[in-house]
Amino acid sequence: MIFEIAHGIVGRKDLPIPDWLFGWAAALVLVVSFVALALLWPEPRLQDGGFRPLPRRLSRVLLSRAVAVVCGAIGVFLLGVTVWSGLNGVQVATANFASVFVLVVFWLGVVPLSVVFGDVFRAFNPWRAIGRAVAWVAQTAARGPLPAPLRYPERLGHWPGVVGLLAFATLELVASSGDQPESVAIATLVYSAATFVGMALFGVEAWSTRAEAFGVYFNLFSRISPFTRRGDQVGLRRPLSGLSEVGSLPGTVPLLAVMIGSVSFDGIGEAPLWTGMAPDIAGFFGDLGLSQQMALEAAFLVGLLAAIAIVLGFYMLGVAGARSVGGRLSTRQIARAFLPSMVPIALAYVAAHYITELLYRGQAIVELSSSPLGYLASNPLGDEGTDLFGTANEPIDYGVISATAAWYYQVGFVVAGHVAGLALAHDKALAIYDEARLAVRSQYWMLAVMVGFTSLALWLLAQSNG
Amino acid sequence: MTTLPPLAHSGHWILDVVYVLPFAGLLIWLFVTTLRERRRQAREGGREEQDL
Repeated sequence: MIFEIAHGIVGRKDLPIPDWLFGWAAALVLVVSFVALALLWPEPRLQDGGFRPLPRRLSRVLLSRAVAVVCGAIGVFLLGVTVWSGLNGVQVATANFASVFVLVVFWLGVVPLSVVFGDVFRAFNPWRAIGRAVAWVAQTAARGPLPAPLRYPERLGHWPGVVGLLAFATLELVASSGDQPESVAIATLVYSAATFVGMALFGVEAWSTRAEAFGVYFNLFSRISPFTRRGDQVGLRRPLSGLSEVGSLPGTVPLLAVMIGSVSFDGIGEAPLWTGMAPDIAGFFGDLGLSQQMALEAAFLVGLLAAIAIVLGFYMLGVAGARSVGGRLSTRQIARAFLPSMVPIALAYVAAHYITELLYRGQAIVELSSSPLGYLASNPLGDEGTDLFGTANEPIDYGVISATAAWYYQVGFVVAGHVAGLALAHDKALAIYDEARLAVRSQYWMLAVMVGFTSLALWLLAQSNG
Repeated sequence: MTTLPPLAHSGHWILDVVYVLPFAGLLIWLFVTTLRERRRQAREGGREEQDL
């Protein structure tokens, strides 16, 4: 089971028009959507998404302690298998459970689940499950309430999540052996230790919802979902309406810049623009005395940070433009107000860029579930394999999606994500501006941001797939 | 050693530039309309001062 690890796994072919024309068509769709929103969407509709409860019996089951324990136990079990297989298995990223599970199934697979079903990761979050279990044991042993944790500092906001996601992106895209099973296992252990310290200081729930990088990441996507929870009741709301509160915490703007910037850098990594530039930057670091490998890693780190800075700058350009139309809102208020519109864009980037990787590499988990350490009879690296479920030699079906179909899906994701972002920004503008005229004029700038992000996304995809 | 003129490879980068055109066009339009709006506001402000 050795296959190409590059994210743009398939090449594109048989397109009826040049790929740049898809970019122009997407921009046109955005302009038409903008006009339609201005004419047909005169009142805010997403600021209060409504709440229609599902049958109480269903809520009782879904939110029961038994379900919480089972889901938490599954999460902890998978965390354990990841560390164990990463440290003890074959050190090939594509042939070990740890790398495939963390970098593909977990990182990419939980995103669509969150968008459809809501915040499922919260239920399976292994760190939260362990934290709650430890608190329960300590409380039982002490026969009384535990000392209250420190109050989570407001100014810390999502900043720990920014650091966590940036560290993950660095492991995945910068470190030369970052995708190696042992690296993944060690990173998992280090991240677990940092998370437990944070939970011990500030409480399990406060840290899980505000600071734990993956919890924050998947929660943002889950706000697109029509499913939500209110108290002890599960219910339905308007899709996208859960995003109306995004942006209230410090650090959310850089968090989304890291989310979009890291995917952009992953895409541009295969473009001639970067492959031509990277050796020069690495040469600069080499001249400073770094080894060849470290110089290359330093160059990639510079590239990753630059991509994040460009995304951040791009968004702030749109915010500055929206500020220039007038009104009493400060730049910071506008930056936070329009931030929900960036979440569907982040989703579009992730979905479009990684669809082929998830559909192809994700299949490997069937094989690796039977043989987590990766020692297979079919594997040239050894023959000590296990076959727990009889799927250890399950082949990858590369016909699951054709190259051309993948391209159309990618374009569809990009356009749909940006139209959704435009709708969210329009809805927010109607809510925060006193005059409808200012609300519409502020959106000219957000339209420019959306068209810019759309063009960038399709250009990156063309680079990856071309 | 001979160096190729950059235009010989224009096919590589010109396609990249084509992607940016809708965004660039939108930005130019935005800058122009913003400038016009500011001039209009400045003119109206001047007239109001004269009226006073």
